[in-house]
Amino acid sequence: MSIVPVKLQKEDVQKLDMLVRLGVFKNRSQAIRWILREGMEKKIAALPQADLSGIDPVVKLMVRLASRGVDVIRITSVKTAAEIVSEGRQRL
Amino acid sequence: MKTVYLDTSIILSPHHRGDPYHAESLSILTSRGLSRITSHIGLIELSSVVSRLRARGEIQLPSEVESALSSLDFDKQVYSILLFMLRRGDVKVRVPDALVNLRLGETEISLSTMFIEAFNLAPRALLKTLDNLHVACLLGLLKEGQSIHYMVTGDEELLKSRKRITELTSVPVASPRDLATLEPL
Repeated sequence: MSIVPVKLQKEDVQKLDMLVRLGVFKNRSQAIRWILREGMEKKIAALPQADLSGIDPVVKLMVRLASRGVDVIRITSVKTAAEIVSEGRQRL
Repeated sequence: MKTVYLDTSIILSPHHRGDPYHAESLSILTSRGLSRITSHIGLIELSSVVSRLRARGEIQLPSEVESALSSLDFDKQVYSILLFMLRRGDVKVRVPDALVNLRLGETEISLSTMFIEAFNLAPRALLKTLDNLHVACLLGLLKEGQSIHYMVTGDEELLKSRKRITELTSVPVASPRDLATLEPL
């Protein structure tokens, strides 16, 4: 474990001590560790994430077909690949 | 093994028979002698390109793939297609992740060094914003120890600026045809 010196508000320390006195936590360190972990998990859960659920079987199917020599993706645009990409670069 | 930083068009080209670099790009994406990378900028760009093509009906897929995709929302259809493209070409997404802290008055902002690179690069490279961000990523990755032997692109504007980009990054900018000539694929 690492030691991290942290400045806390007096009111927060009073609440921590109250929770320790009530027996919710054994001591201040245990209380701070638990609260920190909970807070971090909430923050991490709130980070934007791409929802990739359900796509793995489709990607595996595409890989399987490709390994059998099937041309899985066929782009039919009349533009070249560079021109298609440049559509998004033109405005910048 | 040599490492190539792929511009988005090179990841797209093997799936586009009408592209002038189709054969060479396919060789690059399937070569066992090359390690292939792009950046988060390439990933975002690929997601945008695949979305536009899919929305315009310009991507044809086998009926069983279409059938499997039909149960997914549009965004997941796009992720499936782009993940397949990356997996099929064994393209790794590398992100320069060094941060620098800027203090603005009492506010401190953590900013990716890539944006500082892009900001510094702009007056010297004279590229459009996204092209500039690609080159800034390349520089950032090099500074973080990633070895990159070529930047490969089919983009005429990047190819026209290749001398300037190479002077700034020490990485040669090659078209797929150049790379096929320079390296055994």
